[in-house]
Amino acid sequence: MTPSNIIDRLDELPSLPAVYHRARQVIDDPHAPLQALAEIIESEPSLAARLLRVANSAFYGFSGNVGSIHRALTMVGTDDVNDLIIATCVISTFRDLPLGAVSMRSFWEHSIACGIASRAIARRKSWDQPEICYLAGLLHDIGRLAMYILEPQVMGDVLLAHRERRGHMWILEQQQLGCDHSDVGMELLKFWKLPRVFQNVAASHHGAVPAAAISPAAAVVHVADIMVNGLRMGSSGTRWVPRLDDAAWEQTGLSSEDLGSIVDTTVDTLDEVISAFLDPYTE
Amino acid sequence: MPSIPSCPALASAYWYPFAIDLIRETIARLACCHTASGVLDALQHALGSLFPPAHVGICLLQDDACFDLLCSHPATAQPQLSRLTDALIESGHFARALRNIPGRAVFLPDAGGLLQALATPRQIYGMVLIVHSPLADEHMGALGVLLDLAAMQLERFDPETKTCSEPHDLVPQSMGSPTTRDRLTGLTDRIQFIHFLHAATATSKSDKPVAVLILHLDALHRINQEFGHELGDQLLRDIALRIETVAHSHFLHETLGISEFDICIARIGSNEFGIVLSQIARSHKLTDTIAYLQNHLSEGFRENHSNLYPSISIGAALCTDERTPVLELLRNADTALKHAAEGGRNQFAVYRSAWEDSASLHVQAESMLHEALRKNHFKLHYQPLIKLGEHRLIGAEALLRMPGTDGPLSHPGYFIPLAERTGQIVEISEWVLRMICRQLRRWTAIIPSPFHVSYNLSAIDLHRLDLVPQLRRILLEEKIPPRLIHIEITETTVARDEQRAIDNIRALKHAGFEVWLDDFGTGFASLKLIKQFPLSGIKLDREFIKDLTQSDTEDAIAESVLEITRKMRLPVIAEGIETEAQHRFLLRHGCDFGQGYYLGRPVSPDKFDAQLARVKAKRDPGSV
Repeated sequence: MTPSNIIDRLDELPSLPAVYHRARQVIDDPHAPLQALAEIIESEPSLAARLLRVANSAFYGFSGNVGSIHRALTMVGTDDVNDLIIATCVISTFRDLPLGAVSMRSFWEHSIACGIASRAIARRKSWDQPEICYLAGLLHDIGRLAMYILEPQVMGDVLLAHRERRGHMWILEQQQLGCDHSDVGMELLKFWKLPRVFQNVAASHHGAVPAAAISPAAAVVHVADIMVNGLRMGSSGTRWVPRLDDAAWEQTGLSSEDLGSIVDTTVDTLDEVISAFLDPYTE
Repeated sequence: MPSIPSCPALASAYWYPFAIDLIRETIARLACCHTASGVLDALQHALGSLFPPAHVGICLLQDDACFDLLCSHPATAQPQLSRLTDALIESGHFARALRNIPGRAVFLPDAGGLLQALATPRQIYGMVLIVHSPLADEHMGALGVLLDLAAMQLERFDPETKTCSEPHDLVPQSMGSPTTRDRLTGLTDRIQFIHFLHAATATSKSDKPVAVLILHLDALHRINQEFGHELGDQLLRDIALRIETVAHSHFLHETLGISEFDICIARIGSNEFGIVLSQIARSHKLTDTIAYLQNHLSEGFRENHSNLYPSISIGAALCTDERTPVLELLRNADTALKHAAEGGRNQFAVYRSAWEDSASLHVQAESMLHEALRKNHFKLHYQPLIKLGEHRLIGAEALLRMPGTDGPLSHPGYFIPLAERTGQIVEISEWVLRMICRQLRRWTAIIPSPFHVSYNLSAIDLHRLDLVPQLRRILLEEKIPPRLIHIEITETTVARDEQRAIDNIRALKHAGFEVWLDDFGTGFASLKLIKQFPLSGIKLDREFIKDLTQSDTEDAIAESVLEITRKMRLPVIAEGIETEAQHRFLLRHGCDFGQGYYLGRPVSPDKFDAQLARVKAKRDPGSV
């Protein structure tokens, strides 16, 4: 099997909802009023409800005060609205598909935890756009989701081989499919026309590229991925904690004293954010 | 995390204090390890400090008896160490090192290094390979200590060597070394699961209880039939992997306040998994974690391009008292599992001792039913059926009794539903029919006119595919024609699968049996049933008879029912006639048959014989 084989089949995956594309158009238009975006989101009640739940979760720190989409957009801020919509649309698109040995829930638990930890690292280091790191972390393993859906049998074999300690997941993926989830993830995000920064992080979060080529966001996600794997917050399949890349670690500028508070922040918000994204509506 | 000191000049006066420091640090490090890889890490660090320029490789013995190189120090030496490992296995050096247990190294003159097993006296865990180092004799002692420490720590994680503090009878002595892994899922097997549970309960305290979870895949049989065993196997593997992921998740550990090696996950039956959680610090959170586990399992599985949504029920029991026997704990979890399964798809239940009263009654009754069948404790009583117009005995209804038992258990309203649930009803039905046949043989010899016996068919029986052939076989063996057997069914017995029920009723009628609808009027769909089902007649429920001649409404209802059935040409038996007034009313309104205390109570066959004899004597006074 060649790498292109699975990548050529990305159109077999469920596509992002139409509302997402309409929202993107409005976001990209600097003259469009916020109300226009609010109306587009409200036209899709399930998306709107999800979005409100996430906006009200501890993640944004408004503690349940966000009553309308318009208010959510104002409070979250235009920069972050885009990320919030992408995250909500991607997770909603895949939430209800059954997978094999890795449950969809556990996949998103891992991804959301990695996103939250990435944002916590970025904030700790006072970066401009912690939201970018959040979404990059949330999407870093998305290639694996595509592989689970498109090649369930092969990925079942990969998981079994990994469980029998025959190697890291991504190495086994390469052996079986000729490409690993970082390749597929990058292609999928490109296929969805998401910004390049996310594509890069998906491609290089294992640190398997020359140190100079690792973007700051990729370095952050790399470290966050190791943290949440080490803490076993959800799982995208792997049972081994990936190797820490020294260059990536140095690039984040973190010291080991920073880790405690990053873990605390992640643990404190994780359950609520997971529930906001994944659990059925209770109202 | 303590830092490992670096090695001073070799063979100097500093050597021993350094070695002691290193060992102390390593002990501290190992004590913090919760996983095998953590142990290997600590060991690798220590060996790296002990032999600074050396290449260190650590192999672990896998389930398939192969040694896998898992740690290489420095990482760049991995290919070289991997080749060397293969060569040393090939050349028999590994085998030699394994014979040297406990604790002596095999030197490798060619490679310039040594090989030593990572093992305790009970168990081999792996092999350590050290290459290209000036190796002095005095290092060997420190090396041996480090490897022993690491191996002992590994043994702590190993369920195979967990010691059991109490003897038990679940593992046959002859088993020798039991297989400890389930081949399909790679999980611990049942025997090991019980071992772990014994050890866990023996050390449990009331503030750190043990919980047992049993997970039951409800539809494995059907999945195997519809999709093939290969897919069923794959599903079991996937479920096992999901359970493992959840059981080792941060959420579960944090919520319950337990650590990784307080958990044992096993496949304990073809479609059952078991989990032991021990040393639970926050047992009030148990339901949260079970719900979390179920969330991961209930979202469905994609297997071979099919989406499957099998139901998985979970039963759990918490043990707060170390004196609770393991078997009782398992039984409690099983009881909870049954409760969960009765609640519908993907449900869970945690055992509550409040269930105990009714539950123990159930268990008691179940074994009592078994006893009763085996020792012939069941008896049939017979209640006369009278043709009202002529006041003539035309048959009897057979009623199942269990004399000699007291309390609620002896009541048919209790033990028959129970027998239906346990499946014992099938055996009981056959016994009932055979007894009826034997009785009929005697009675038909006494009474020349047609005489039949009716009995109630259970829902289980009515839905059996082989119902009619089975009944015919019994009748053939007992030499009784089917027309003498009247079968009574109720609306509830029909309800489970109406089509199957109709098919069976048709087949029964075709085979010559009569089929009556019992308890008519108590359900909701009675009239519809009459229309759809090829019935021989209906039995009007005692509810309609009870207040006859005392309330105009009751009279009107009974009248109209009789009117309808007459128009449909369905014969009617009125049940529960207790007074002369009721009898007269029914007679006046054209009810064909009757049954009740006023006409004759249910009695033992002997007493019934005596009544028959009296009837016979009345009819032809010349005989007797």
